[in-house]
Amino acid sequence: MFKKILIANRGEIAVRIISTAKEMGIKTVAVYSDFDRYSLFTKLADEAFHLGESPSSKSYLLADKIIDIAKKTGAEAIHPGYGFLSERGFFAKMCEDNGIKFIGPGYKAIDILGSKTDAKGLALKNNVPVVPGTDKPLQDMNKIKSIAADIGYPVLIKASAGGGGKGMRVVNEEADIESSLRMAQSEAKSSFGDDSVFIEKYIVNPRHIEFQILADEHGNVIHLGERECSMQRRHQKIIEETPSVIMDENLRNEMGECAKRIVKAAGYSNAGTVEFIVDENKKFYFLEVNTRLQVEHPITEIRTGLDLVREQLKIASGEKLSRSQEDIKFSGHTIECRICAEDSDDNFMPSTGKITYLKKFLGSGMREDTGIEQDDEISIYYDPMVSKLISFGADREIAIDKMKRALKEYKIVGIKTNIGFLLSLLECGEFIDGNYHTQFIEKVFQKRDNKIKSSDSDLNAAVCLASVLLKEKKSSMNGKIKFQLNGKAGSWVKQRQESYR
Amino acid sequence: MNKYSISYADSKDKNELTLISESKVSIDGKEFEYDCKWLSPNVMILRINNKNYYISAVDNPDENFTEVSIDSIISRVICKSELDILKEKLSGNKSGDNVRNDIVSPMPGIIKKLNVKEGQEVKKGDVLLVLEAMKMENEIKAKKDSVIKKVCVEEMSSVEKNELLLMLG
Repeated sequence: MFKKILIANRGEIAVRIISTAKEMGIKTVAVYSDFDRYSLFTKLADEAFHLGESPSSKSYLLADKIIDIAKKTGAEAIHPGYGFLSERGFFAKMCEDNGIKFIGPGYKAIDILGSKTDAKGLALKNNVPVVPGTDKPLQDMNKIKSIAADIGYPVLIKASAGGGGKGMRVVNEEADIESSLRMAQSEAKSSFGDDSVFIEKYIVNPRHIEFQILADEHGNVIHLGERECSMQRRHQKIIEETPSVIMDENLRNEMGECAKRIVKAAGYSNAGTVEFIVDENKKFYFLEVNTRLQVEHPITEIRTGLDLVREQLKIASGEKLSRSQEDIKFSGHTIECRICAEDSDDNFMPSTGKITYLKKFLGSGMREDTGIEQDDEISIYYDPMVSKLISFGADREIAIDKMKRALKEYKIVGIKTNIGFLLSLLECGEFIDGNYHTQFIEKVFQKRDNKIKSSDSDLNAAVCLASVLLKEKKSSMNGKIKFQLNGKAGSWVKQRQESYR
Repeated sequence: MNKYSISYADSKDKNELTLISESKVSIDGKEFEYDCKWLSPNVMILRINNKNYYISAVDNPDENFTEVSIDSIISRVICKSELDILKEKLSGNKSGDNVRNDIVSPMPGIIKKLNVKEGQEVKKGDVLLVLEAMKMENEIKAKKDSVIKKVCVEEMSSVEKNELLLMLG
């Protein structure tokens, strides 16, 4: 096993990785940008090295500098977390060339699976169903139009180097295709530096269901069950759960075997996630492989009892998988909610600022993966996700109830968050029935009016009195400040007071 | 005996509140016992007739209301003292219409797209411009029907937090 690793990431995922490393007696090296100089993860690591300025292009994406720090500190391996350099084949290769173990798959597997067209070809070759569409990146408008007509509308345009919903557009009819294509290409160009796209059949009301896999470097592969990630807004997941309400043992086995076949064919090792979309008839199609640890990995950890970061470290150090497929047992129900710094009452505008107060009562059946503390700032430089709450119980109802309770007791002041929005999702009938899909929030969901009204006597009294007490406190503080100023200015007030004695 | 008038920003509900003492309050003629402890400048434990509320209350000076959060449900209220109401009357300021209409940048970023010209009429909810920040494109919408009086930025210009982007009338 490694004695020291470097974590090429920040925030909650850096904290998450450092925790497991500590548990295993492995020393950790953090790297940070100007902004993160005193962020939680830098304090928890054994060593911390400055990378550069706050924008990620000047810090967390500086592959050369990260490799240099790893060499200087004697770190034997680099954990890339998610985002940043985690799915960049060139970085995995740089690690290898410098004698540093990349905690993830080899660069060849990253490159094959990172190219959506290659991945799709691999799926087809291995009898894994895929959505009908093009298998080559396209740039020419006329060709794109004729292919779209062949597949039949609606079609989906996707950036070939894309991810996270950027450079993606649904086109419902031919009249819209030119403008949609231009927008997708400009987003793709600015986000990924590559404006080639591909087109596929658009599946109506799909569910997003993904399978966690573990593969060692000796050819053994197991899956750890599914995660239902259909609760998305603008292609960003916000609530994930496992098991999926539509899953049964047969479907799980079938999809799990497909997931295993595809990573095996790619020569994959370490932890990875195979994403599928599932239509209303439970027909599933391969989407892509995420060649890294996922944001939502905790729900799989809780349902299997495994620590995925620990498994990653063991695999990377050359160990064989310690469990076979038959050893994996699932229990209970788990839900994750992503708390984001955004104003859900104002078009989900990202919210920045200083967190002046932060308290929560996790209580039984809850876990939090977070990278923030009270007095931290939330900046414009990085992802707005600040924390993940994970609930678990023997069944789905218990897990939902625990999550709702913990969200209500999560007090964060100084930034706006989506907590109220998460609560309204958890309380809507469709979620309770498990009847939702990736388009649900944008197309179906009606945010219930959960405002307090004057007619609700006790709560109304609390709201009114709280606003008055804040005002009273502020005006009495202003009074004190004025008095102190008078005191400092000295004599006039004092003299007056004395003359009245 | 300080008197206040509290209204909700998104409804017509209005409450008259009188602080009778440090432990007694009257709201719309009904008396309540209360006990308050501040845990931080914006967070308090409030007991009203022995019922517990764990509350955060934050002023939003830009838009002139206070955000009160109980169990992660946020209420926007406008709290005015007798003096505030008197001042408003003297200055002839109409209460109620205090949604600020000029558009300022909510965060530093880049103007990705500008959809409006000076003199253009816009409807509530129209996308006025697209601001890129935190790696996301954010649509800035009109808060009510208005006319664009002045455009203070250009496409692709970078802006600071609270920078004036558009003047609306």
